Amino acid sequence: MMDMISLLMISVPVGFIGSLTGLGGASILIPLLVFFGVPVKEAIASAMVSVVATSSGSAAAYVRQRLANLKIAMFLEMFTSVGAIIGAMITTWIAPVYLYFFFAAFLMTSFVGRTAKGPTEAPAPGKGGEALAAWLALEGRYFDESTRETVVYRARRPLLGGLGMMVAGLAAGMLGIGAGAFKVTVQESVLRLPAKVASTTSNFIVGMTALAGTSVYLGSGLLNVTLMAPMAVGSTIGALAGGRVLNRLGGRTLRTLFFSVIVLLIVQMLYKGVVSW
Amino acid sequence: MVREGPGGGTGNEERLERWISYLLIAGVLISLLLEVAGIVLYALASGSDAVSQGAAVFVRGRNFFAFLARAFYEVARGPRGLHLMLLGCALLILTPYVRVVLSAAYFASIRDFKYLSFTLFVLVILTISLLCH
Repeated sequence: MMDMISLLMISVPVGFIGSLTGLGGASILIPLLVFFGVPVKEAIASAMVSVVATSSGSAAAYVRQRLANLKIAMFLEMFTSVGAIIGAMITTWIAPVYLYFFFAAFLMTSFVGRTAKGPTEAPAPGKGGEALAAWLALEGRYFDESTRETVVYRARRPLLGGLGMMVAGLAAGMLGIGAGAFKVTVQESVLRLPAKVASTTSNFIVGMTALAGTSVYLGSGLLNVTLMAPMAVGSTIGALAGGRVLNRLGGRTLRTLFFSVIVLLIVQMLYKGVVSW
Repeated sequence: MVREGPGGGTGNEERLERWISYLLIAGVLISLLLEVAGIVLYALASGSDAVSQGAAVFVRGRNFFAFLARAFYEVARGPRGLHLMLLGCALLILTPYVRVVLSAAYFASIRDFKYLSFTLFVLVILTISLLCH
């Protein structure tokens, strides 16, 4: 079993990467913990606190820089939380094996047609749902420090995006994962939000989703304080740093980081799918 | 300062954004201090900073609010390392919840009933999920 200082050190880069990509970071942290000898179930339960730390630690900076969109976050969170509840109820109906493959396939779509474009450029507007998006005020603007430009955006296809987020919540509820990657992809590909808005808004939502799972873990008795506290400290430090640098980073850097983690996740999902076949 | 949204509508959530960022920074820093103090005290008392598997380090609770109340109670009885870590984690986990409560208060104060109802919906679901398991 490892010591608390090493655990803290490991959590710093996880919080940093998690806050920059909007993925939460549990999917990176859990395999690391298991590698260092932490029992799997304990690692899964305790990683929840690291996700909250990553989300809250960087969100302050993202909100102040107007990167994270609070209205979009609240609108989407409605769908995610309903999805998570349905997911938790129907776990017994659908074999998770299909979900792993579905999840992997969905993540692969985030590569399609998105290689030439820098993520900080405003994406090509999609068609449809414009009146609804305007009524919901799913819009905003932010100053991009890497390009020195003000980016103005409005979400497209809010209903389809909401459905996508419900599926993300469903996957989260059934598989016990945060599904942050799924959420970022929905916001980029369906809602057509600029990449920095998508990842920071997802970062915001991931914190709420992780919170919703707390009582389940409390009931399980698997939460280990000597695991949680150093992980929380490390993730918070990493996330505070991530929150300060994200807006200054160029599109290429963020894109490379995001896709490296996505590749890792696809491999993980496929592996889990094959193993539970 | 009033900012114009792209459709001519105002996207002015500046006040809410300020509230939330102060709240998050405060919550995160307080829990960080408690956790660090807890880790140091715990390591000094037990003579090692190894991650423990002893029964005392595992938290169990009926629900999150009971867990939070217990963390406060234990620290009030005498701040031991383990309890400070526990309270730090509990407060950290609380930050996203308070954030939703604050958003609801804000949307109520500006009479944005559309977003007030969205936020209350999320708040109810979160509260239910925190109350039962």
